[in-house]
Amino acid sequence: MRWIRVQLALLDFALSSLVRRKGRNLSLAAVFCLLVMCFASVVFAVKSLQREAASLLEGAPDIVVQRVVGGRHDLIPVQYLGLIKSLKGVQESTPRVWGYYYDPGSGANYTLMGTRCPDPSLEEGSVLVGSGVLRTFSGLEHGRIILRSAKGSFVSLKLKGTFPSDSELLSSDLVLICEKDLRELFDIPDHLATDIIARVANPAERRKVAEKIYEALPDTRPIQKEEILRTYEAIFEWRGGLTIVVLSALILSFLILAWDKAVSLGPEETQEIGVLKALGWDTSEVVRMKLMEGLLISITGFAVGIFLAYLHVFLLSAFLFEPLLKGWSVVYPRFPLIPAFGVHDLLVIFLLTVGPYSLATIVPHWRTATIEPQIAMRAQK
Amino acid sequence: MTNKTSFLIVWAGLCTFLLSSVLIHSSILRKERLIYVAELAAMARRYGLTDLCLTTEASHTRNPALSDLHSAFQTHPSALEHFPSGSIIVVPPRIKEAPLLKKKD
Repeated sequence: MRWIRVQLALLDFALSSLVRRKGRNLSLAAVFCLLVMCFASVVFAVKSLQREAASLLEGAPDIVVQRVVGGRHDLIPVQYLGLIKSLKGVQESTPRVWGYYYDPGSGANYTLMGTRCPDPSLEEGSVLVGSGVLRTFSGLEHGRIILRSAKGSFVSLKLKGTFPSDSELLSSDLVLICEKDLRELFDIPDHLATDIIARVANPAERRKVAEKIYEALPDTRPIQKEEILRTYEAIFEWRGGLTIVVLSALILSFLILAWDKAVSLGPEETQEIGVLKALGWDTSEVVRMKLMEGLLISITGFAVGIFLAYLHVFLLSAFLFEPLLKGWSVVYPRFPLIPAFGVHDLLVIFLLTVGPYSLATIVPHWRTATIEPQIAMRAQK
Repeated sequence: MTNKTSFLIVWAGLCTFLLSSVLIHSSILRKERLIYVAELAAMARRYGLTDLCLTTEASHTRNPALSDLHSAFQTHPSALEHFPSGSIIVVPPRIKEAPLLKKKD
């Protein structure tokens, strides 16, 4: 009980000490909060995108077979389909006709995906588009979309409908069009396709099937679903790309803040410690009190920073990161992220932020608390 | 109870409220939004989609899973960097690592 009373008294004194230097401590807490917010925002966004990519792309084709000519991706003969279908383990195999369309009016690139018609949602002469297409495409008029074909003529297609806005992460720039219409638009002959997809029922057989495809068709490049998923793991992994640059900058900022705390102790604070020592406080009580000051500032900054990071990423769609991902794109999807973090992630952020800062406050105060009180009280401003 | 002790209790309560509201709300939001994930996975299966629509400025950023070393050069002869998206969309591991497929001797 006595121990608890002593700690509460130290906490009380620490609070009074903070209040005496309100402006400085509030600005320290605000800077700390901003750093935690940026750090936590990166962690939340990256974890969410990683989880969403893994979940959404579970439906991706098991194997995508591309044709490679001179090291570059080229159109694939549809006759390759027969050989792929005949391989043991392949349940289903279909050619895909798709490509990119550049709209000079909006400066945007769109993905045109062909589908076999009649489709339940589409017929020849009509298209389904993503929300990003509706927002940006310059050739939309009176419920029709105008596209320029590879031969220079203009093709007018009826706008049948749009993909749900919730699906923008997959369909924002997508234009679903009947394969026959797409072949005419891109001038792709009937005996060629963009690539061939294959479904393999047993995941353990995928690699073997991919090997057999490569052996039988040496000018092809089979891409397995695992490789597709690994691509997105690599993109959102903390070691890759811009993530490590942003995280490094943030960690460096924390270290600079902690270092500044560790090396600089003003004469006012030195005198204060001298007075406390002269009044009978021992070194451990001084250090504990100063540690409590550091914890009050850093825990406040941490709690508010985490809250703001959550609001930013999950309720405001991480708008601060939009320029990073969007780059020069005209079409940018609006998608809600799904929280994929847990208590352990918050603990890691806590240890990486509050830990170093609080520990850094101990060093200078311990050094000052060990010198003679009369020397400390004479510290000059 | 002193004013400062009351303040400390309110402060502790506020910090706990902020952190616990984040955890509770995230759990609720996760349940709500997981419904549409299943629908999107079905959409990917139906249309054979292989990539997320994150950045549409170049083929290697729009479909990184299907790109190769030449995709960036097909956008521009000197493959001018599409910064910052090109720095985020890294080279697919299958291109950097040794091929998974064994070549026939």
